[in-house]
Amino acid sequence: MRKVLTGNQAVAYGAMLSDVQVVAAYPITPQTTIIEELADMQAEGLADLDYIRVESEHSAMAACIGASMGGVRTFTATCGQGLFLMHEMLHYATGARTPVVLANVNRAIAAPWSIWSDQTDSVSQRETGWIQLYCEGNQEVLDTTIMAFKIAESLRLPAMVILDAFFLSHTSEPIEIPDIEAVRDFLPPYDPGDLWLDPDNPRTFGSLCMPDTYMEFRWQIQRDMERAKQVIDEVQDDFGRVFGRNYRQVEGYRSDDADVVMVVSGTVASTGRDAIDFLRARGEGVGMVKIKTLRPFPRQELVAALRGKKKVAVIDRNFSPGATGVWAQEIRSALYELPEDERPIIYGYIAGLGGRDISIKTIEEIYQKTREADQPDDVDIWIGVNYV
Amino acid sequence: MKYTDRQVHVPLCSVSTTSSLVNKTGTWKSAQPLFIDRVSPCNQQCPAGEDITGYMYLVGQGRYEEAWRLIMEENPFPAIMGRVCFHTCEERCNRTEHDDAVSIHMVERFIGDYGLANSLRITVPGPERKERVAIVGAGPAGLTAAYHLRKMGNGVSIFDSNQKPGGMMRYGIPSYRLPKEVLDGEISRLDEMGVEFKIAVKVGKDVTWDSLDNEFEAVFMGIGAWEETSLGIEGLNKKGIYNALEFLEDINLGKEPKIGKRIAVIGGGNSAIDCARVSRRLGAEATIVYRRSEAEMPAHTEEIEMAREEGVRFLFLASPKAIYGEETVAGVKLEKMALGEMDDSGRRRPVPTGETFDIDCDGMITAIGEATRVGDLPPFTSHRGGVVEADRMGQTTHLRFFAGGDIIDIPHTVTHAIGSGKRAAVAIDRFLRGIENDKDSPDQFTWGESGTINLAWLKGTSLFCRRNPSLEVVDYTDMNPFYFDCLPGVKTKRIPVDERLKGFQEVSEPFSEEEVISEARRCFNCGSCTECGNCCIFCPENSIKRDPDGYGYVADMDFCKGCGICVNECPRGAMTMKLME
Amino acid sequence: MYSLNQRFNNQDIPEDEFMASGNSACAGCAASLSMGLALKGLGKPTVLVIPACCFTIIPGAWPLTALDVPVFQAAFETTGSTLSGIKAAYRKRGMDDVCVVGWAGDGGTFDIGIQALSATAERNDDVVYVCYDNEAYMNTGIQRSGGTPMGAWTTTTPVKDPKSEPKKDIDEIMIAHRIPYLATATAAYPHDMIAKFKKARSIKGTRFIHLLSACPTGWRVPENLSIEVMRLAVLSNIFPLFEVENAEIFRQTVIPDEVIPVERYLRLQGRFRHLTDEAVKEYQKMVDDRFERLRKRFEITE
Ligand SMILES: Cc1cc2nc3c(=O)[nH]c(=O)nc-3n(C[C@H](O)[C@H](O)[C@H](O)COP(=O)(O)OP(=O)(O)OC[C@H]3O[C@@H](n4cnc5c(N)ncnc54)[C@H](O)[C@@H]3O)c2cc1C
Repeated sequence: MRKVLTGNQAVAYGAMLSDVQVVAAYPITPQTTIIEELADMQAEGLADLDYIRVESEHSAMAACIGASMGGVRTFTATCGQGLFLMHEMLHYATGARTPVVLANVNRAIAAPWSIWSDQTDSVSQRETGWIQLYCEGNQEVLDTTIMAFKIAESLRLPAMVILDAFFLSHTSEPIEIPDIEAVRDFLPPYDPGDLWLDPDNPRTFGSLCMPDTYMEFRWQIQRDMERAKQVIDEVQDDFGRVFGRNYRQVEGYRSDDADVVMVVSGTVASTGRDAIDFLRARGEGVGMVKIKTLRPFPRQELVAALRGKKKVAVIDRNFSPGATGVWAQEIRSALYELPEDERPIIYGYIAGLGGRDISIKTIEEIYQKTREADQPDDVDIWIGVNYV
Repeated sequence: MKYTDRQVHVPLCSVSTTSSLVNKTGTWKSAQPLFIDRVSPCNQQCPAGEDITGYMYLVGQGRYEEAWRLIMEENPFPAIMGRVCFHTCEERCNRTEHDDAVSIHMVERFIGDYGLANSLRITVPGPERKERVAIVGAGPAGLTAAYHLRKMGNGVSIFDSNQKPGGMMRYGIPSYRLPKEVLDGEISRLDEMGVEFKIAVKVGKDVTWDSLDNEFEAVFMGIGAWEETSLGIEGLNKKGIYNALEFLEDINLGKEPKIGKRIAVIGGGNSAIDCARVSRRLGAEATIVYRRSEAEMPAHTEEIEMAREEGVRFLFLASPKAIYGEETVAGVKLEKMALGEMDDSGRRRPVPTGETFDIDCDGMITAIGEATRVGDLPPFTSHRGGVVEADRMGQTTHLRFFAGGDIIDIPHTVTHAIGSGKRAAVAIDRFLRGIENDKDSPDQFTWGESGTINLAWLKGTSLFCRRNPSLEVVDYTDMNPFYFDCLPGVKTKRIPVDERLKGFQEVSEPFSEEEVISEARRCFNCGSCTECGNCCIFCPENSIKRDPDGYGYVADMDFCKGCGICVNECPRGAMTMKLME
Repeated sequence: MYSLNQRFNNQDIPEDEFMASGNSACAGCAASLSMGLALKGLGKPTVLVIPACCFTIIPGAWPLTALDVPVFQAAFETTGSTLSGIKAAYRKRGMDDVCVVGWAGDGGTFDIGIQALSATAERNDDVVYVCYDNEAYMNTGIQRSGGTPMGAWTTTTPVKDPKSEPKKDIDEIMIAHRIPYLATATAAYPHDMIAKFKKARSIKGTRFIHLLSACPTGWRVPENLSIEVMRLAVLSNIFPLFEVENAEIFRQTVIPDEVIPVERYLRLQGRFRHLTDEAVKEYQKMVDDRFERLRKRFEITE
């Protein structure tokens, strides 16, 4: 079935099709329509879910963790400030090994107030142990939401589906809605196995760990995050086989024969495709790589995609004050293992913060700067900023 | 593995499944609780060595026969005791600091009467040994000694010069306080137990002390104090003058002594009170003349109170100097006295003032004290003015002879006599078995000033004395009074005065069963575990459990952290903290 | 056997044990005792949510536990919302009979957890929330909380500047949520406490039980007196025992035979040692006033 849906509706459909059982959520712009949509679906009887209208995002995540401990599939959505308020509980969900799925609509951080797109909220959760899946379009949003449950549950790690504010959340696209029975085949009901609060089995979850036991639990998170790379691939492959849409953690666009490669994530990728086509038409040897996962970081795929390139330009719609954009940091450290003669020069660019448009022109400017400079500046270049 | 240098066998998250029982928190403590069975103040002072808290516990549950048997372990005369014992236990009762003392004597009386009404029996096998013990005097001391010796398996013969056994209980105490059926009923049990009664045989006259010394392996002497102390003034041979013992003996034998209508009773003790009260029952006016003031009277306050109710008048600080009258007494000349320094008894001494005054009377009874007839004692036991020398257990200087009751240096009461008879029985039994007095000897287990001895405690079979018996006395501050509601005690009812004066009907009315139960339940059971469960319920470590093999509780020292809550919350002071090494 | 003339008949106390020996509570801890009693009242199936508090430590470090019911150790401020989440999951799984119980300290309830608690109560989620109130952040070493009473010393309200504000009235706050059941209880009155937990279990909606829970370490009382001091709190009306149904029916469940002066309660504890006689008098007035406000409601509804 095809429908014209906003990104937020796509999230709601994804959750509904996944037969999510408990939703705990709190409204925040621009996430709000996700939870409105789910409330409607519940009220209409389309989704058989228990809806907890919590008083904050912190409680939303706490309730999701509780419900997940109760042995059911749980979901929430938030953005920006809400994600920041959740921060403590994001870590908690990982440590408790509760496979909660969260949709985050990338929103800029206050102060000053801004409700527009910016990845700083989600990249700031890099160390929480959540799998982070960035989406380019609404179809990918819906599909990724379904896949996120499967990935999270098989690893018992929480997963975040990430979409740009307004560019996706409030933009409509015609998308294919998978058949629910096919989704059910793809994603069977949640089986918590042994790790849930079974009332008949008196165990204490989350017991205090002394220094001689703590590291083992953290290590298992790391082990499973490493394993996640493979699991994500498998799930995406499965999904592709069943539904005919294929997703990769790292996906090149006209990058094989390019000298200069732009690395992007989220909606910048779709603008990027047009920009690459435009530049190629001009005869430039440029290509693009889109990364879907910040965590786990697809190091090997990325190395494979960028090995031997001359220059790599990373566009970050986020930044870490005092350092560089987060994607740039990650890519630099990933590529460092290449031998010097195969290691590209990496250029970092900060663009599109707080919802500022990243247009074809912006990308062209970035390409231009990359091509012209023999060496990158030691700090990221801020694109389109009226320096004061 | 890349990320670790050690093999791990841990679950995915920190889920605990091992019971904390592996964590032996008992090592934390520096002090540990101890279950002890302490002595309640009532038990500690009971001259007869009864386990009062024990039978209160049983009566509170309606277990009357068990209660009766518990008393009978110690004292053969609960129905008598419940009536004539001066129940000093109630003065010491910790409950007095809470609300009112438990009416112990009324509960005991109920139990005694229950035994009589239901013809409860103590059965004993025939004597185990051929040796026999002679008991001289069938007063409470002799009867008690006989009873216990018989229970211990000894053959016993009891000699008494009177026509019936009972001693002063029969010939002294009037029946409005101790009905004869009660007395007969309780004494008759000894008969059934195979005690041989040799009645109307006066030792020293009808049989010699020497012959007893020869025929019996041991002799107990309990011949009482049957000589009335003389006033030491002229004219005591006038008609209408009696001494208390003659007077009461006549009454108790059903004779009508010839005495006037206005009677002066000289003395301040219980016999003086009895004489005055009997006089009232004979239709006479009675005035008690006492040389000190009311506060110094040795008579029991309740007795004084009842005498007052019955119209007995009191004249204090007056001492007889001369008797008026020709053949029959017509009046007494009295000297006014004043109170001086404390004397040895701790009371203020009467000091003559030289001032005199007269009172009229046509009858007079002297009741200033009774002593043992020195001539009735065997020649070979040493005594001081009729007070036979004996050790704490009653053994005299003539080792085969033991003594108890009014002839030794203990207060003259039925209760003390019973206690002394019991002590002597223990001593005689051990003497016959050839057990030397050593550090385990029973006199190590006699308590308090009256030498209380509790046989069950000694044997370790007492109801509460299960573990760590301690002779420490529990006082109110050792208890946790919070756990006891304030409930005023049941008051003893007495029959109306005009009823009383018509004859010798028993004055105090028995408690109903409900009253008895409610009184028994008021008992704190000081110092005894009643398995109330507080220690167990309040243990934050869950380390106190029912003792699987017996009575009470055990604390698991593997886990007890030594907080001491159990001790603080024990309502009855049956626990204590002990510092650890 | 039964306890003769005792005020309580301990025969009534359920024998079941849910709190094992070997726990890591300090000696004389009323909280660990309270847990055992509460679970006796609640029975099974029961699942506990325990946020950061002394009870993070008490059941024991991994892999040990003293609790014989499933437990989720939750983040400090999340008791209310975690309860709601677990309850929702059980509802979805058709396990509505499971009693989901939060067990939080005063810090986790009066302070950091009040937002989540308030929301859970406002939604009237079907959970039991227990606050064992030891009147300060004891686990971190006796710091002042909203539950700390006026005048008390804590490590953040030193003797020279003790807490000058009265204790936050969490009961009134919860009553204002018009929840179906609220009760105060203390382990010094185990029968009353167990009865309240039993009753709580039988009611639907958010139930709140406020336990006074002496901390010998933080209150500066000898370990053996932790029951005693809680009893004095009740007898002095510092901590009256009552229950409230639907914010309408107020019932005092333990009426002291004789109300004792607050001074006896205060003077037993080192944390109040510095209070002057004058301050104790004021304290008495404060306690009397609060009780009077409550008493009026007891009367109205009795
Ligand atoms: C009027 C009065 C009222 C009292 N009221 C109370 C009271 O209410 N409560 C209380 O506790 N105490 C009371 N007492 C005291 C109590 O009666 C005595 O202390 C107690 O009876 C002493 O017991 P006993 O066995 O030593 O001697 P007794 O009871 O005096 O018995 C001695 C026995 O020995 C016999 N006997 C004496 N000489 C010989 C002999 N040579 N050969 C053979 N038999 C002999 C006597 O016949 C007598 O039966 C009262 C005493 C009196 C006088």
